[in-house]
Amino acid sequence: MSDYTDPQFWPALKQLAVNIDGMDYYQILNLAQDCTPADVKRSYYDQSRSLHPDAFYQIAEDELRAAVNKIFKRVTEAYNVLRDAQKRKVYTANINGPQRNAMLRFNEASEAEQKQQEKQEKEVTQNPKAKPLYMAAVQKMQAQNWDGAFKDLQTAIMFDPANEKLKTLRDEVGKKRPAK
Amino acid sequence: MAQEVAMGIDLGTSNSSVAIIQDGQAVVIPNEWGELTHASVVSFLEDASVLVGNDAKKQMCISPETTVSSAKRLIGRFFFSEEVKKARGVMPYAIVEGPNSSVRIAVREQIYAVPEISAMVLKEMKAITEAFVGHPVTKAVVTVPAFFNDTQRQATKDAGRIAGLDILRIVNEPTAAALAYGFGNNLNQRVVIYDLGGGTFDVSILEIGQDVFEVLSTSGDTYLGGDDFDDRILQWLLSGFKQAYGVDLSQDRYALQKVKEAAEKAKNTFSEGDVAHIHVPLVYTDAEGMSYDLETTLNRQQFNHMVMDLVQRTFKVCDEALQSARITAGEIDGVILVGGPTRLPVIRNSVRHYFQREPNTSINPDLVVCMGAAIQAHALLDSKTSSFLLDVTPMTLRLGTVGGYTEAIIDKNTPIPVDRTRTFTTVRDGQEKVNIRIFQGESRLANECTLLGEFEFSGLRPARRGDVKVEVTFEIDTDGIVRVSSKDSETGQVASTTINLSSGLSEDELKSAETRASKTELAPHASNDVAPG
Repeated sequence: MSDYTDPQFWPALKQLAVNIDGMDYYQILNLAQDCTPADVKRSYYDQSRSLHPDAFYQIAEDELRAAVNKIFKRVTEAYNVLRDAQKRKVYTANINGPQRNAMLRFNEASEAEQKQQEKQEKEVTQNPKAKPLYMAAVQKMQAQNWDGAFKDLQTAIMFDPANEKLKTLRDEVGKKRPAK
Repeated sequence: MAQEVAMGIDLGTSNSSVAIIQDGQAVVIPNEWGELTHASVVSFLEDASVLVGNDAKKQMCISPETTVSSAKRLIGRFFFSEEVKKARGVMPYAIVEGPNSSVRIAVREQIYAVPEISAMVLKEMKAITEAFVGHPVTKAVVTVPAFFNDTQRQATKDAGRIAGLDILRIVNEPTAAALAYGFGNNLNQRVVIYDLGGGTFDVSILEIGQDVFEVLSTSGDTYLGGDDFDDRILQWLLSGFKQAYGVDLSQDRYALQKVKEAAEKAKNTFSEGDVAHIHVPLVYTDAEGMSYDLETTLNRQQFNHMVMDLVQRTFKVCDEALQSARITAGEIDGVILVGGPTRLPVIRNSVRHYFQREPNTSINPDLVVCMGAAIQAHALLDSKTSSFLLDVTPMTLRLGTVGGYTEAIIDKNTPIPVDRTRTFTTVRDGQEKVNIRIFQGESRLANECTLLGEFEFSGLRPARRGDVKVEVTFEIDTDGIVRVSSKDSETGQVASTTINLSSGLSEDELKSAETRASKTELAPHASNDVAPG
């Protein structure tokens, strides 16, 4: 447990509450980017022992309690992302990219909802020949290759001509295509 | 000066209990009759005093309209919710609608909010503790089912305040149970807590690393409990009587209450015995003045058969919890049973079979939760916290969107405390306020989730549409309680927040409830002789 009687403890804590906005999850958990899942858990437990709000229950000053609360929420958030291999991969790429400062907090789209969306996407077409073309188009759309996506969708519609969803999508993509 | 004491209170649907730490040990406090569990029943007597506990339970037959039981089933719910509709059908006391679709209970020409009823149970626990230690005690940790949503937790906290308690913390029942078993102790283990209470079932999977108690997942069914087991026997008895005599006893409140008690007693028989002899004398008197008894026997096999589907439902919940925790039943190091109904051999055998190991039962399943709560209460008081509870949010927090849909903000089983921020943009020129509705639940459809409340952020600066961005922060604290706040993204100015719709009590209502509670006297207990209501 932390030593509250250390005169340096409270100023350091307040400073951390400010600095934490500029730290990535690895820095918050005091870990290297190549750490193991076991390291993530160990660090989370260690941080919990020193920063859990319950340990500061008796502290009367609201400002200090708020600082502890803020820090601990960020520790929990860091753990929640880094313990999940999938999220961790995305996050690590984000913070090492050019947008680092905007990516320090993982923008977590709900997992369950994402799956549902994927499922819906899969249900856009059941036609065995149109389906792979549609999936390819989705990938090209993500890469902002509107021209390629448009062509895939056109071909998909040839196999599944009654599919309104494909047509709507094709028209939307068509609008984004660079004018020739 | 007397040594400061903090209570651990298990505020149950059917029974409550209280414990404190003495000489490093959790001690469950007996009342003057040596009883360790106290019925969560409140009976309003003619002299305006209230009787709470096992004596009040006896009043359920004598004066059913003035005796309130199972308030926990109603706490923190809207009047239009399924559970409240169900309760109105079976409870003999009057459940009425209060402001903002809240639930109120009408007894002896008075209207009470549900937290006021729970507050009386808490007051009783406080009185029992004070009689035991010989000085006033106000600090307490109160437990709730892990699957309680925000409003249910908030309402429980309100109950504590009305009872004149200083609620140190709301702790989840399964986490408290794990604490009581003293898991940890330099062990790293994964433990399942199978908690079948009177009215709710929940299961939590904890990973314990020495002094850290991390909840990996929690899952539950708020419509499943020991009462449902009683109900199966009750329905069987009623239909048997109807077949034999052509009389529907459920139409007679007094008779129904008697048969209900007999059903509960029969169920309890199966904790030890194989056959229950059921006898309710003079349960029905016909037009000619002939009286009839209800008399029959029920054996264990018949009973097991009656409740098998209920037992199976608990394991569906276990499947879900294991899946969320991303582990298998084989990776579990221990199983803890909580709640009176887990004494039933049909439960114990099924649990043993499902987890392929002998469940832990060395601590009384009725008392284990209050003992754990006492441990945490003591730790908080001491500021030498020696166990750290890392919990998760049991339900997905959602934001209402157009067309009756919702969007997930914080997924279920996300570790807490946590906060997430969303940005909203004005859609009209000169828009002054933003309204949002928040929900908890697992459906994208708003009407399949529980509405927590509607918030209004007003006082936005006048500007063209799209120019004002409002950052709304959703926070879930360590007690599992949701807070919503907002600010202007650009200016950082905090928008004022009003709660338009909430099943909770307003500050004014809370204050008047506190005043009324402080004036309400707890009636003394009589062991056998109960004054008629």
